[in-house]
Amino acid sequence: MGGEVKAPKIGERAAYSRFTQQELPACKPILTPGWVITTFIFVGIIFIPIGLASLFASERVVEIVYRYDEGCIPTNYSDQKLAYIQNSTTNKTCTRSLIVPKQMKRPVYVYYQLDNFYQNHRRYVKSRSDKQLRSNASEGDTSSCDPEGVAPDKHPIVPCGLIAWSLFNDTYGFLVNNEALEVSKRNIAWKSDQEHKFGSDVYPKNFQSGGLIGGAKLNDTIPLSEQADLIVWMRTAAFPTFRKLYGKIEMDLEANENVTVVIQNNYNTYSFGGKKKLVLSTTSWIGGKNDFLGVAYLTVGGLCLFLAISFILVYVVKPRQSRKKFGLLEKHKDYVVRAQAFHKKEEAYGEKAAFRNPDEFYFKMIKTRTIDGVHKLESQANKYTPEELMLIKTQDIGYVLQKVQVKKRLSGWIDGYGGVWVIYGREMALGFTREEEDGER
Amino acid sequence: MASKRPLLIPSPRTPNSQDLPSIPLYSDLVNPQSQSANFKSFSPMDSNGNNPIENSPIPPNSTTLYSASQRSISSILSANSGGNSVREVNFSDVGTKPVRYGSRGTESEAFSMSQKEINDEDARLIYINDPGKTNERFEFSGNSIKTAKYSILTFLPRNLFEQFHRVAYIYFLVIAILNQLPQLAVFGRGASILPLAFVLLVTAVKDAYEDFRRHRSDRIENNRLAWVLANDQFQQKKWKDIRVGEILKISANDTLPCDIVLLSTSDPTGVAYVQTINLDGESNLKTRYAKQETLSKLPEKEKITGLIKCEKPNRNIYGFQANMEIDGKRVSLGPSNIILRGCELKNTASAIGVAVYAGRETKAMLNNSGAPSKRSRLETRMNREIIYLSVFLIALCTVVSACAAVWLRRHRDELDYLPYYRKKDFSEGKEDSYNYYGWGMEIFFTFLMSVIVFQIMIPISLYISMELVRVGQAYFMIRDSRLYDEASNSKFQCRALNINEDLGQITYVFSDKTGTLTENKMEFQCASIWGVDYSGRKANLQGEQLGYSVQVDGQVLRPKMKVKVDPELLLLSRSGKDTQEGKHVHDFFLALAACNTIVPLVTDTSDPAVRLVDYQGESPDEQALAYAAAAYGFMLIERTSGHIIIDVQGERTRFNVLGLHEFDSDRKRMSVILGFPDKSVKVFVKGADTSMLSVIDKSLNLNIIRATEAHLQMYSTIGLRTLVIGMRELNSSEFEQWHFSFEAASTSLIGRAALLRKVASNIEKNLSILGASGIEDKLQQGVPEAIESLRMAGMKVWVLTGDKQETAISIGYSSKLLTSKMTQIIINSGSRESCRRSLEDAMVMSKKLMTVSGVTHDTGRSSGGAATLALIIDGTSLVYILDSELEEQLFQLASKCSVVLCCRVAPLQKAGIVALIKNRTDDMTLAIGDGANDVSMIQMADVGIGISGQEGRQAVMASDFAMGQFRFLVPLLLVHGHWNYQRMGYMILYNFYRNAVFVFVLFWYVLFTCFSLTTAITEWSSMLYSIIYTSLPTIVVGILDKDLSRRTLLNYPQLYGSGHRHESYNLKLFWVTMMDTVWQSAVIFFVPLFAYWKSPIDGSSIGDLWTLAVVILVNLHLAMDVMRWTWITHAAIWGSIIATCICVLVIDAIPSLPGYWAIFHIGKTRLFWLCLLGILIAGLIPRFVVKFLNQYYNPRDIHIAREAEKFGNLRELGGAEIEMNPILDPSRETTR
Repeated sequence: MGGEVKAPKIGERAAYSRFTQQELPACKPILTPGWVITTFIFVGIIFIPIGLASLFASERVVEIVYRYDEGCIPTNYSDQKLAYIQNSTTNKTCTRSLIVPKQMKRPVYVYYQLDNFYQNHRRYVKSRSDKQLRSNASEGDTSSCDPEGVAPDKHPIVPCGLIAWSLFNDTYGFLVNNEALEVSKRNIAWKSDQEHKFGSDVYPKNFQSGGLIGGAKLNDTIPLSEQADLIVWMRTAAFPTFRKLYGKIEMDLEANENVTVVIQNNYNTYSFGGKKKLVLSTTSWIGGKNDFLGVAYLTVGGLCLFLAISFILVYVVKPRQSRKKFGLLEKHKDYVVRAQAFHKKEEAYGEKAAFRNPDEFYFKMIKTRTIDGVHKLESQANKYTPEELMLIKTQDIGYVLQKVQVKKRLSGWIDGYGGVWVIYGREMALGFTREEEDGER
Repeated sequence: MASKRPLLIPSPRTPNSQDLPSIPLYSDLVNPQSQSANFKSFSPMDSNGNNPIENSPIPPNSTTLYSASQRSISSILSANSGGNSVREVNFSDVGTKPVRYGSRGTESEAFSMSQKEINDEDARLIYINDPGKTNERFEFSGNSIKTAKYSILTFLPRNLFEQFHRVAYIYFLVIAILNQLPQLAVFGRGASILPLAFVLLVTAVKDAYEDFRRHRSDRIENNRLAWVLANDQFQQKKWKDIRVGEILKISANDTLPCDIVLLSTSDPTGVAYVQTINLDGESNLKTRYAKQETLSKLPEKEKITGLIKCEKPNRNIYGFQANMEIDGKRVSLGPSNIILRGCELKNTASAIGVAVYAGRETKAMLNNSGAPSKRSRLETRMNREIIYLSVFLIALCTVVSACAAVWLRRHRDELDYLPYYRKKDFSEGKEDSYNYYGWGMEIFFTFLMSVIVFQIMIPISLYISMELVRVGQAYFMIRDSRLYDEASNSKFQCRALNINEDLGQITYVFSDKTGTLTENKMEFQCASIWGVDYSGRKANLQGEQLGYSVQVDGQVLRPKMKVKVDPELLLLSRSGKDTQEGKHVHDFFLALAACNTIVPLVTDTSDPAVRLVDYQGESPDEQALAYAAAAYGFMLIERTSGHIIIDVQGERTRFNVLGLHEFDSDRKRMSVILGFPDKSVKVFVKGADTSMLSVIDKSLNLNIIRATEAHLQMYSTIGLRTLVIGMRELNSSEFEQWHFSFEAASTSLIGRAALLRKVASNIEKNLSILGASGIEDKLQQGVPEAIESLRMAGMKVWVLTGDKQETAISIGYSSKLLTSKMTQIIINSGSRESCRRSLEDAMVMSKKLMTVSGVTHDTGRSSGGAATLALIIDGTSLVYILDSELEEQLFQLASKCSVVLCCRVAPLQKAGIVALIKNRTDDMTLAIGDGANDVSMIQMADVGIGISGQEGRQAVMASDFAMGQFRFLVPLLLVHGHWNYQRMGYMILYNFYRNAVFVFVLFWYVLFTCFSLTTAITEWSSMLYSIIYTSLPTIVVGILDKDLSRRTLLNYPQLYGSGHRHESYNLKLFWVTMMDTVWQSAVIFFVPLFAYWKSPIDGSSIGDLWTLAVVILVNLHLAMDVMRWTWITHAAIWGSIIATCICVLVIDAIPSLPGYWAIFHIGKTRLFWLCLLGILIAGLIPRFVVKFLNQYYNPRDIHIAREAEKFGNLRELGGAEIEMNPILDPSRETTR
């Protein structure tokens, strides 16, 4: 687009505002030591308390994690886990008891945790139909749901897609002192999802009716918006190790209390080496138990304080040198360069002095005076009258040129001459041209 | 005899130079010797055929004849003319290279036309006053013009076609197309097209707007009215309806609608004055003539019929070749008979002419070429980094696909039933592979998909941003009041938009002298008459306050411009012709008054009794001379084609102009043949000293010639332009002979210009010398300071001039280019051998000097131009040096010198010198000039700058930037160039960084998704990222950020060195930025990863976190680097962040997307905000620390200056202490 920017019409003088002159009022921040150190101290002061607070919060979270995928396999099946889990006739119930290490205030959240399950795999993530989930009318919209779009009889599967198909189907029951603990499924799914994303008129159809059963079956009489487990499952996890909310226990669990868990171990993670864990956890203002953030904040805050202190030290011990002596733009490397040049010159002059002609004479020897160790020419100010100056200006070079021409003409050299004149300021040394020298030879 | 007037003067301004070897007419005029020389020199060219000659920019001209025939004379003359003859012979060698440059090139086109007889196939036949017949055979274009590029129908295809000329767009298109394949569909269809569509749309809207404006101006232009002859009377007609062959009537001050051949004018002699300011920018009046044959015809009364045969439309605005058959007579037409479209008729009541070229075939439209397109150096360098980025991109994609390959291989047994993969598809009733094409294909698809996902690694939006930024920068350059020339009311012009940032890296400045360094306003200073120098030293303007004036019919006539006069000379000129001295003075001033092409215009003043005489002419030298003559009492009052009236000391005298040979650059002189009232005939000649001294009769008054030569030498030494004036009295037989051949030549149809030149050369010989004049061309305001600033900024200033060496040196001194401290090396050689030896001597010398005095110079870079050596070289030597093996030596030598002055150089050589540097170094070159002779150099240099001055618009048309004065170069380079470079460099790096951070964040995530190229960030966000989220701040910063204030930059020109050292953009910075990129992206990705590991977070929520984190971090990064916060910057940066938040909220409020309401959920948690804060701080710390340490402990010049600027110790330090480059030296003051 190298077009010409049309200049405004001649005669129209643009309004030269501060804007067009790029002189708008502005603030010009500069990183000064004071500023930088203040910033670091400030960051440190903010970060360390936050880090401590979150560490503390994370510390207060009580978490019981129990991995049951290995343990819940009966010993006689331990070599053929896959066969065990795929066999619908085997007894999948598995009862374990867990000790509560500390008091757990309600609500106690019940999670299941899956490892090595890539709910974020591209094929998996894409295999869903949000339209179908939302309204009954788009029931047939299963184009994006392969390979779980339609049942073998060509009827659309609702909810379609791999995500729904692989719905987690282990169940947990809890007993404390032989009394069943109620696990509430209320509000485990997002309200926004229940209200807008999963239709209240959409009922499961043809679900898990294909040749391959992926996971849980759904009750055909309950609309999707009420299927909390499905809704939670359909929020695909970000990482291959993830937890999903199973339910809430609206009761405090006391320390050292024995909680018996009855696990229905249905879900097949054995085929791909995934792990299953049951997690009971309280929560804090920062979420679950995770020390990372606290540690990270402490590290960053500490680093900032450390930087601030070291800058202060450096600032005190080795402040930046003033450049006043050599001028604003002077730097050390310039000084080095100059020093080298000076020494080189010194050598050159020393050599010159060694081979000096004892009879050497310059007019400068008598025309200069030494003032403070520096040779200064005597004042030349009123040496010449203006006429003389004019004469000098016009005739010195001119005169020489003229002489050269005359000489050339006399010596009969026509075809040009070459040569170098070197003119040192006022004093002129004329190196005659080679042609002429040749001619004289 | 004088009563019988010769034909009107054909005045080709720049004559077409070629002739045919022999015209019988001439045999009696040309002496046998020169005739043989004539044949000799032309025969080889004929045998070569016409082509090489046609292509040659400097035609082998008839001066070569002189040099052959007159070598004997010139050889005993001066070395200068000797060199001259040699040079010109060699010129034709140089000239045979088919290089086109500027107007010369177009001239040579015309000359190739002119040497052919216009035969019927090539000719354009125009039947006067018969447009029907004219247009029936050939479809001549109508007079409507169309500068617009598109129509409504063609806009879309043509605009798209033009836009897709960029490789970058094609890359995006290919990516978008790839994404449409179902196997590769990473993004939704809409989202993938969006960025490209946006870019295309913006550009298209801009183009459409520009085109709309062109359409509008076309419409206005086409609907203007003109008087056209129809049915024997003139009627008004719209411009667009005018057809070739129609007769038009133009009134005073009207603009010409098309190119017309003059038939008659209101002036009885058929003169019309035109102003060509729209065409070539020259504001003075030019004369055009109607042919005598058509003068008396009145189209209303009698029907004019005739046939004009003219050449095909061409671009040469100074050439026209045609003939006209009227009343059975054949009349030839030249450039002085045609008025071109766009000119204005002035001082002439009306003119009647016939349209010959219309519409887009007019010369004005044919010359309307677009601006040259150059590529900026920074962009070229950027391409290297783009290649690195492509390598990154490919590396990332390879990593992803390799990992995917391994993963697929390891899990190949599980794939069938893997819940999140499920290769097996039972839905069709039979077992099938769902979306699986085999291991190899999967890998290949993974690779392509990763290219699609990571596509913005190549920052495509950078290209559009760069263009917008350049437009903004150009806006500020144009609007800068300091680049506005009040005197000529000319603004800075940005003609090339691609190279703004190159202005910040210029190392070599090549400057023309006349009109560039000087004002090109000539002032008569002194004269040497008959060997006596009247230098006017004691002249005072005060004494003659009113200047010279004459009384005519009770009215006082006074020249418009006052000239200071030498009282002694004034006295002599008034004393009349009685004394011998007085006679010579009389002749001298008569020559000055008569021997020119000046048109005197008498204008009224506020005082009715006083009228001013304004001399209008094409050459400022001539104007100066005419004013000088007027001041000494020889006032030119009237000029018609047949006579001139000169008021000689109050006495009106009428001289018949019997013939006039106009100035041309080959003869370098002009002559006029005057018939005096006493029936004597004299020829007055004036011209350049070299050409004049060769035609002056040496046998007469040798002393006078010697004295004049000495004076010439002196004048040129003090920097004056010199002209030599000579005259000769013709006896009647000589005159008859001349008259006969002149008439024959001026009516001839073939090679007229050359014939005329031959006639001229026959009459311009054996002259007796009258004297010489010295004209001062004043330096422009602020030139010495400007040159000093440029030198301190580390630029090498070369001056290339056509002037004499002495003049050039003296201008060099007065413009502070040369100082007395410098050692001058002068190379002035006449043969290749001597050139070589001169160069070798000079090299030895320079080395010697370096070791002793110039040690500091070796370390030159930081100290800029510690000037010790100045090279002065002339055009003759350059002829031998350029294009030969000596070039390298010259380059070596020149690179040691901080100042180079080239004198007597031809336009082509100027380009050659620029090329010498350009081809051998990476340094940027800039050429600045004002005239047509600088066009070649301006086009050759990396940056060409045209001065819109006195010499027309040729240079401006060829330039990248145009401005009013030389001194504007300093703010342009030091301030705007510096800013532009710094801004653009930063912007490119930032764009690389910005996109790479995003890509790396995507990449890290891909590593945690089985390499399946899932993106947590929604596709809409990734598409909007470089369009909405982050684009505006970088553009605003690219346009508005300033590292240093204008004042600081001007006070410390050394700061310009940052451009030379590539401080704003270099490979090291690139790698540092990339490392920072990796760190920041890692922080952005891994902090949430660890914080949310084993948590019930879903992909969309964490995607929103990443989106916000990356956008805010990237914008804060920019905010940290902004050096000057105005409200616009604030608005752009914070506005972008807010816009991003709004976009994220909006996207998450769409229920049909999987991430519905995610941001609202995650936004309620404290962890989210803590993560965000942690990311921002941790991401920026390394850069912040490094930046601070760098600025504080290893500061660059810019940082120091910024600090000084902020904390105000700039002033207290003062200028003297900052003297790193000892350029200021007090001794120079005494030299001046």
